[in-house]
Amino acid sequence: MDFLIGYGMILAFFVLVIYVMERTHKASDDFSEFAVAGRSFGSWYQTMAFLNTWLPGTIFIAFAGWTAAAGVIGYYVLSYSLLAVLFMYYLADRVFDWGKRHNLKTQSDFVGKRYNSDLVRVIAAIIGVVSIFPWLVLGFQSLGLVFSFLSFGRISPEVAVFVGIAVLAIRQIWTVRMGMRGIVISDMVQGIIAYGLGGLLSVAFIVMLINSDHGFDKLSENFAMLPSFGSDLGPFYYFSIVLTGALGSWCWPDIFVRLFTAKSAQTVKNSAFKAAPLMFLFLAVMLTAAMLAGSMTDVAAAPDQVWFLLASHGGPVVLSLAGICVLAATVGNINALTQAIGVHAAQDIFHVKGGSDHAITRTARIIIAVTTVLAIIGAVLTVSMTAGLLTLALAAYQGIVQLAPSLYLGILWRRPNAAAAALGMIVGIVVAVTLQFLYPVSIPALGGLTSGVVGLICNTVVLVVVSMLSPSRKDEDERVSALFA
Amino acid sequence: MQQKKSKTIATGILIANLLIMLFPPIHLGMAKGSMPMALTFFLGSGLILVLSMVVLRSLDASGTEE
Repeated sequence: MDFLIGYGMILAFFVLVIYVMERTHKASDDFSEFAVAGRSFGSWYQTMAFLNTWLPGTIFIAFAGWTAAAGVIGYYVLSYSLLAVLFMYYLADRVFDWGKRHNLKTQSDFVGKRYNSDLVRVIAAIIGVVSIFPWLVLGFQSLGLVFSFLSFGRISPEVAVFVGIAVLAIRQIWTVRMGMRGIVISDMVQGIIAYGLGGLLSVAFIVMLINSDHGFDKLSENFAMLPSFGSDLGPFYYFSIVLTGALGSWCWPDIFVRLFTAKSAQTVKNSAFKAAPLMFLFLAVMLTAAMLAGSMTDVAAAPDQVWFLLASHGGPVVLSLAGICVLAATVGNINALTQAIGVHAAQDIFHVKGGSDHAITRTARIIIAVTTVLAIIGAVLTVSMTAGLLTLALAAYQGIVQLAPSLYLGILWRRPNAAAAALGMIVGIVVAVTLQFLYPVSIPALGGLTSGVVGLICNTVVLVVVSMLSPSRKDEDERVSALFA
Repeated sequence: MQQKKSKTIATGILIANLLIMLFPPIHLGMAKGSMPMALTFFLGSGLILVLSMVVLRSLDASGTEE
């Protein structure tokens, strides 16, 4: 019976999402429609699409698990996520304006236009696609946990991974067919379930924990401490992870494209106004529930399973609802990741010299299908290596943030040129990757700075120095002035 | 004049939030063992940012038009 409740709810969830998508489907071969849904969505859709892309299912697993195991340091996701929303407000006008004026569809397209360089465009696309892929595999793995818990012991964890992958592979048919419009519309349904229902469940968990003698007073003093002087991680570790998360936010291709799907720049700003309180409320209650649960013996033994262990105290229906929250967040994220990989690889790598809308859309669809298959193979091969893969995914963050100087300085400052941007990105990536292998977590000799931050500093210095030393070219100055006008 | 003032306030808001969230002496000082202090920092800084968005919205000349 429990099995039927769990898997029945999964079925009902998918039927609901597919029904809503089919109702709003617009058949089209236009690449703008496929990539940015014709820039047609209002602020509520934008808000939910942003949240569903920004907060993947692993928020309930790895991020909640870190908070349950280590305490307040896990709240760093709240800080950098809110800074990302704040940045959305400041980026909205210029990014949307350039995007609409020049029919830009991707982040690489955007930096390519800013620097008038195919090289910069291809480098940005490669960094983006390579950095995203581990997160895609991780997303498929998250599904395994959901399908394992909701089978109530009827299906082994290994088999549950395959079931989850098979179900999502079927779901991907709609992503390949419907492109961005289908993604944004399904994000609305999935977002309400993941963060609305997830937030309500978190409040219930907090009440349950406090009433069952698992209040704040039961947490150890270490739970209220950040790594400081004399610690293994170093005093700048927290600063580094928040800085990397915040600056890296708009470097993720799947996040950046959210700035292009809106109706107007004002829509983007309005979605930032709406996203901030929703994100704050959801993350505050979910992380607090996870931290309080850290004093439970079973959670302390398996912190990554905190969300499911808490829900299991409420019986099969509550556990199933909790699983659906994770599923809703995971599906939205996987859709956004595959779409971003497909569009970037098709337009900014394979068709960088141009092509018909029909050809680029077809290439994007093929790449999405191939990437999905590769990620499924990756997930199957690494079923029991979640921790190692998470390390790889976090390392990818150190790489993606190397787009930040070219992106942000390119928006704020007219001086940077293509050579400076390309050289800065290459130096940043090389430094970050090298240091990441030597110091996977933080660099003790630098007070706990991470590889990504050191790469970022080198990247920025190179970009600024090369920009300042490059001789000014009249035609390029005029082109950039026209872009900024 | 009004637009310049709004731009200055918006820049001030960005810098203030970056300082609150990122300046190490603030978070290291607040999160050094006392749970009420640590939560005040994390939830308080988050709330300040949310309220900042409200201020930014009030500065926005275009209002809610999309």
